[in-house]
Amino acid sequence: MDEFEQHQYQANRRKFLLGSAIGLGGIALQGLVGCTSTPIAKKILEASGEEVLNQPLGSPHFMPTAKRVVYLFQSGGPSQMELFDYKPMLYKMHGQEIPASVMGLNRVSGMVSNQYSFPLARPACNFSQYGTNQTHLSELIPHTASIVDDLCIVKSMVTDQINHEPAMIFTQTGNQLSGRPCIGSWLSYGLGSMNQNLPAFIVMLSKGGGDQPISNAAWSSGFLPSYHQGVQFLSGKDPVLFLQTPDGVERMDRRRALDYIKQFNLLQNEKWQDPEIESQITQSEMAYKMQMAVPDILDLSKEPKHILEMYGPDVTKPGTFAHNCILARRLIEKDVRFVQLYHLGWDHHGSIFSGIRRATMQTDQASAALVKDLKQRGLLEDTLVIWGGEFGRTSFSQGKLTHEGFGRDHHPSAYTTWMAGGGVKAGMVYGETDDFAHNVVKDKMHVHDFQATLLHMLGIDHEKFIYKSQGRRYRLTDVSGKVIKNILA
Amino acid sequence: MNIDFLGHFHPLVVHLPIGILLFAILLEYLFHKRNSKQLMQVVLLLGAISSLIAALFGWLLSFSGDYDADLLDSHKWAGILLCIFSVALWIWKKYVPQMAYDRLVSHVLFGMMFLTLVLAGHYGGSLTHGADFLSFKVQNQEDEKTTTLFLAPVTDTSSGTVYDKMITPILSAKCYNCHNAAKKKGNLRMQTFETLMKGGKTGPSIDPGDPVHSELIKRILLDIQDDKRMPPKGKKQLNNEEISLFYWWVQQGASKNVKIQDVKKNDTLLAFFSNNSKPEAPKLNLPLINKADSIILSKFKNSAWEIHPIAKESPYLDVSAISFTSLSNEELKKIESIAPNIAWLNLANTQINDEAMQTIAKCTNLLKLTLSNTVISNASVMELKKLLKLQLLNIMQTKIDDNGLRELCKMAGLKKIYCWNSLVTKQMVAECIKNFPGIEINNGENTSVKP
Repeated sequence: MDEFEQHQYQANRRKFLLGSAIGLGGIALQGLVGCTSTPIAKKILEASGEEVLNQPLGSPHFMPTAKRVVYLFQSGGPSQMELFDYKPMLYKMHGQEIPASVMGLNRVSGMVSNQYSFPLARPACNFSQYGTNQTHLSELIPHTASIVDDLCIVKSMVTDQINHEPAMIFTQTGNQLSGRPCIGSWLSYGLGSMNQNLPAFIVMLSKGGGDQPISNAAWSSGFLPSYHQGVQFLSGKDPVLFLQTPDGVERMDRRRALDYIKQFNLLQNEKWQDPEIESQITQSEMAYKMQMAVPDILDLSKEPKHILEMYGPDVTKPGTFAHNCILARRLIEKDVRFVQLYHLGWDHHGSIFSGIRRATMQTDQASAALVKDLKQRGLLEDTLVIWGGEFGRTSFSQGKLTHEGFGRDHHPSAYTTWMAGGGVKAGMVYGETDDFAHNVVKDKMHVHDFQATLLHMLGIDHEKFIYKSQGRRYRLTDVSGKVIKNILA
Repeated sequence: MNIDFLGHFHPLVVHLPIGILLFAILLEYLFHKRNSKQLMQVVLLLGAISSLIAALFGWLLSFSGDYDADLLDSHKWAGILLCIFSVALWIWKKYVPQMAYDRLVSHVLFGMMFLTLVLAGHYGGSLTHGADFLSFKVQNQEDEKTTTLFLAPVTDTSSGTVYDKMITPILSAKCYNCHNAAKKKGNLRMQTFETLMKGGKTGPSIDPGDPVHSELIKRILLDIQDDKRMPPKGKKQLNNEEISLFYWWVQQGASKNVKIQDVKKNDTLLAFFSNNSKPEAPKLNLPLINKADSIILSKFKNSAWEIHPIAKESPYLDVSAISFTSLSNEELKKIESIAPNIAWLNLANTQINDEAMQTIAKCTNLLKLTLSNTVISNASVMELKKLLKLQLLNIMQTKIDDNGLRELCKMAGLKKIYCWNSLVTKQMVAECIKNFPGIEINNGENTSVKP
């Protein structure tokens, strides 16, 4: 597509006026210096002050410490009090009202708005100390405890949202409403793929978790070209929908068909210049390559037994979190830029005692195995693993605190997330909450700070990573976000 | 048209007499043999006329009141004397007949003219560039238009006032140049708190507690193209953090005495503290070399190689054969053309063998090398040891054994070795960890953490 045609499609009043002004000056200058080379034209453009927008970065702004990311998203809001944030005070004050000074004016969800009493509830488990720093961790996550020296545990995460969907969309896209690109799409767009046969951004959902649905807006490319949306791997016969060639069609036939379709698409593209046509062409080509690459990724038959055992008994059942974890490792080995896992089942409004045990049994071993497996292969060196949800849970009981059990409600003002590898400091705890794990008292890390830090590790200055859409410049971190340098190795 | 406007041409016109009169001196003393009387007279006439015009314009400019009165006075009188001497010189050379003291009078007149010229020039320079412009202090080399924060971050937040430690450094770096006791553009002096609050021609610069109606805040928020914008276009600009700080400070009452430790540390303030500055971008720590030839690089475009600059503008490349599992020794040779530029090289899962090391050894700037899942063996080790800068080596699932590992550990720069599933034994790993404490060796033995 030459520049002239590009203008035909994308011209608007401003561009026209600007173009005519520069154009006349350019012609005059050309006459003066007798030169038509592009560097001069470029200089004129630069001098005119128009920013070069909506160009993928290609290369990072500076040297990245992480080239790939695995994001183990724990949807529902894992309780920080039952997993990472040890608060002896909660055992002591079990059943007593949460002090008003702690409760403050914090927002509560609609589910406890009719509640007049907010009794503190002791954690539904015990804690022990692990690792060189004797970090307190729950007895429910023994495998995670075994890799504690590789983890950077952030206890001071803060989000703006209190309900699942907006909070998850906020974590993924930097905005509570769906429609903006998610982290994976930003990275796919900005840095591109490192493997020619696989997309840069792959999403997997695990079954058997919980009831909170998860919308595909969380892996949408928003206003970025649709080519950058997450490619979802499903469990079952057809892992990637519509990828298989129909029975009786040979691969060569498919190739020829694609070539013809491409010609039509190119013709159409010449006429309309719709970026979505380009997306379509690239996607078809990618799908063709994936027909070969994906079955290879999904085939676990060559994995040695001791490796499979690391991930736990569920690993061979497609669709489980453990299975997705080992697939994530295989994708990372192939240099897939961003692997996004979603596990549901952390939304323990009632009977957290059994709920959290179910959730940790499904996720603990495989999460830890993934980190260990990446580490022994030398991949943790430049792969960032993130484990966390969209918010935390309240230190007080939702509903009545009974002997049979209790639950906890959503809590956005303090929760825990851990990271490992990719240039994050190993064996550290960042941030502190008060005695009730209710408010952050030291080193707050807001979701936008988390996103800014994540981009920093990938070599991107979040303030310079901008896409202009419908007259507004957008960033993953919107208008805020600070790189938390204390967690960087 | 306001006649004062002509005054703005003073800085332009003023250079004419300087040039012409200096030329006259040169003519008189260096080229006096080739010097004709007529030429000397013309040059002196031009010098006299231009100095008179310059003086006139200077006089008009002095009404703007932007300048320090004492300095201006000195400049004015030096200028007037210069005019007198240059006119006198011309009259002397043109109309006064030769007489007994001819040479002496000529020397005196030229001498006085030169002296006043230097003085007027110096005072003029002090007026425009500040009285201390002719000092041997290291000049700030940075681009005038730069907007980045070059001020040292505030390290000690336990003492000192916001005004002293945060506001004045910015004023000093970006405002004092024009608003000092000597220059006082717009009749505004900023060097002391009192004069800053007093303001200038347009009234007080700061209305404590009301940033929206404070002249200073209004001016720094104007469009860069606006005539009233401060700092004006082309001068060092305030960046967003600095503007936010001024806004916040005025909003809080623009106090001189409020201490840093007493104010609530919001984001605006935190941006200035040393532990909150933007982290430095990680660097490769390799020498600056030329970028790889773009024509050579373009040849790899449609191949199975993945070749990317490690960062924008970096000459170093991240080269990966992740999509190129059929890679052979022969094909690997192609990267020799870009060998010095390769800093990270990933050849995992390819068909290369020990002979490939001849090629790899040419990548003299290599920092990270991944050879996992290839058939390389101890025969490669000798060549690998030529990679003096290598920091990280991955020989997972290769045929390298205990002897190979021991040799590799002797590499001075090496910091990490991944050797899981190779022929290296546990005992050798333990021995190497003991003997070479500078190297981290990972063989997949997860020392499981116990409570």
